[in-house]
Amino acid sequence: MADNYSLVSMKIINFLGLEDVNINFTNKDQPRKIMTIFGHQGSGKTTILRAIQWCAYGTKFRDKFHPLSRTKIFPLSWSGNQQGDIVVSMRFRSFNSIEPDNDIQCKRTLSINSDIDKLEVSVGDENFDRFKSENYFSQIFGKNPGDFDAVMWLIRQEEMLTMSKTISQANNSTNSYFLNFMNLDVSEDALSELLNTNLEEIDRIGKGQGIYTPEYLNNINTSIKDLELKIQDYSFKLNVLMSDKKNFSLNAQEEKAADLRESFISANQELNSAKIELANLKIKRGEVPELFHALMAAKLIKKEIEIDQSFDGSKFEWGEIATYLSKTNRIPNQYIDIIRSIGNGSGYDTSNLFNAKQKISSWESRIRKLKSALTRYHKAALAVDDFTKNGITDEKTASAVKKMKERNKINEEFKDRELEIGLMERNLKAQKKERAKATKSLKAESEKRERLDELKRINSVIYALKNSIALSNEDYIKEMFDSTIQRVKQYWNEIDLIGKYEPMLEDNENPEFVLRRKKDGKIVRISDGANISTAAGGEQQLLLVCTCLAVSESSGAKMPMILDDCFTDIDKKTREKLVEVVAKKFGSMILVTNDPDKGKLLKNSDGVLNLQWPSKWNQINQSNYTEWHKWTENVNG
Amino acid sequence: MSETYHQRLREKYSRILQERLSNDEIISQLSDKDIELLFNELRKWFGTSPPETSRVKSGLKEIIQQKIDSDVIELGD
Repeated sequence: MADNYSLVSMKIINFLGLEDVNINFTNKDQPRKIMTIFGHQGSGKTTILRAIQWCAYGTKFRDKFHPLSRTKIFPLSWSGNQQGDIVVSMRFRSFNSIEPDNDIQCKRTLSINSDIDKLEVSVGDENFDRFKSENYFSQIFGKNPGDFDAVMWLIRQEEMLTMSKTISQANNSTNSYFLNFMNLDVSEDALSELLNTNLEEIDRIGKGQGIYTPEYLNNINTSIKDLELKIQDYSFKLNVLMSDKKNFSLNAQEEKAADLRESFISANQELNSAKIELANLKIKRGEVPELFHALMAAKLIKKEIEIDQSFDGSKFEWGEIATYLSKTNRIPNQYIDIIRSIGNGSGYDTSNLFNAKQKISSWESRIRKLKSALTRYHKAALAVDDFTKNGITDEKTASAVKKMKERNKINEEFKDRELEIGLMERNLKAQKKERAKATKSLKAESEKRERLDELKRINSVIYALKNSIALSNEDYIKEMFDSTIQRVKQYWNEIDLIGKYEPMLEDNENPEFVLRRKKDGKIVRISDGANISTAAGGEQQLLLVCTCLAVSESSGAKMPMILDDCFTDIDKKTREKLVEVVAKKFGSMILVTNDPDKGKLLKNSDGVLNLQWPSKWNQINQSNYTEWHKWTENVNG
Repeated sequence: MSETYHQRLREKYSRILQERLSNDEIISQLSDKDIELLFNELRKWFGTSPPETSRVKSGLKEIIQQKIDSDVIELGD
């Protein structure tokens, strides 16, 4: 962007008395740098200036009495009601450019149903959005002045006092126009945005602190190490047990022997018991006769044969019976002899037989028991015999059982160890997982801390930059304030031809320039513009103009300087000098006046825009436009 | 106003800012090259057509986050 611009053209639609006009400010297609706009009262000079101002800063919606408020810019014919769009377009060209390719074109529109202006700016083929348009524009015209502030590039009589009072605000770092040109807002905003983004990230990182500590990780590492050693130890013991298991393994026979041990013991116990019982029930030799008699008696009773006390042997052929019984080989000979003796007629003593009758039932019972014991004995003997035939001995079964017990014990121990190792390995796996988690978390924490530190360092730099800019602003304002004060004096010294007064800054709470009469030091204050009629009235006005020029210069505004009839009380020669100095210093200037004499002040001017508006006209439009204005070399009186 | 007047305003502010940057407690910890990088990035926008904040931000961000060595900055307690 260039530093100085000239106005190339304007198009105005429905702005006050200008219904539809195009004003061309070029001379043979080149912008005029120094020109006069001349016209009598009501010819439209102020309207053109207001249109430029409105295009630059927009409608003052809040202040109904401001000249640029909505209804104040309506054509009179609308009677206070908007009847169409209000549009002002301007075209600027930089001093360095002779071609229109990079001209800045801006267009402000207030549509009939809209509550805001619309500003469109384009440079060459590039169109800017609203935000960029306003920023671009502000570089040409400076920041939008407040409702009661003056415009920096437009020196107008009624506003000179206001403009000169900006001196008192100039030293205020928060409200100084000196910085408008420097365009630091964008850098400051960018730094603030960066800062806020970082602070948000710092806040985000700061939340959710990790739960793991380095001490925790150390403890887990120690625990894992201990566990691994323990597992190793148990595994070694397990291997030993495995080897023992092999040593105490049973073959099939041993397994069988071990299984049969109980049965074997039981069978032997049964045999012994049966033996004892048999031994107890065994009929002794001395008991045989009693048994015999009891059996005989039982037989006889069964056959219902009476047993006499004594016995007559004649009834039977006892000799034959004895012979018969002898043949059976079942009866012992002694009894055969007894029976034969009965036959011999000696008779038989039946007392034993008779006595045996009492013992029949006990002998019957004993014999039954004996039979049972015998059966039991045989059975037990068979079982034991069977074990023996199969090689199942007491020694073998005892040995097998012992071996089995040992083996089982080893197996139990082996299982327990295996279980323990399994538990430890599961525990180890869990701890390793926890360690990995803790390691990852601590690493993330460490990275977080590093990032936090990095952000804090970056923020330190950003704060330092902002602080440096703030301090630089203060320094710059002070320097610019001092140089502006000097510029006022320089302008005065250059333009004042009388030399009676000198400007002086009264440096109080609200600094302002006053005139000090050189001969006696009398102070003349700049009074309200309406009352400038004293002897120093012209000097006061000149002081105001010099102040305004210095203020405008230091604001850095890039618009052509416009002087709008701001030196009515200054003498002619001083006026000439003033205009000469301004044209030379500012390079681009528009002098607006209704005074032919003043209109002729600009030497080396690029032309005069003569405006002639008869009172009978309501507005300027296409039909009367060419009559209204024309460019001349000089002012037409 | 002559074309050089605006340039003088920029130079004046640049001089002031450069001095402030060199004297700043934090900025002075950076290398001269980094200070110059920061300074040049800022002065790019003095008194020019104001670009969008995002463009200035991205330029400054690149310098501050990627190009200068801010590890030399000592963090206070």
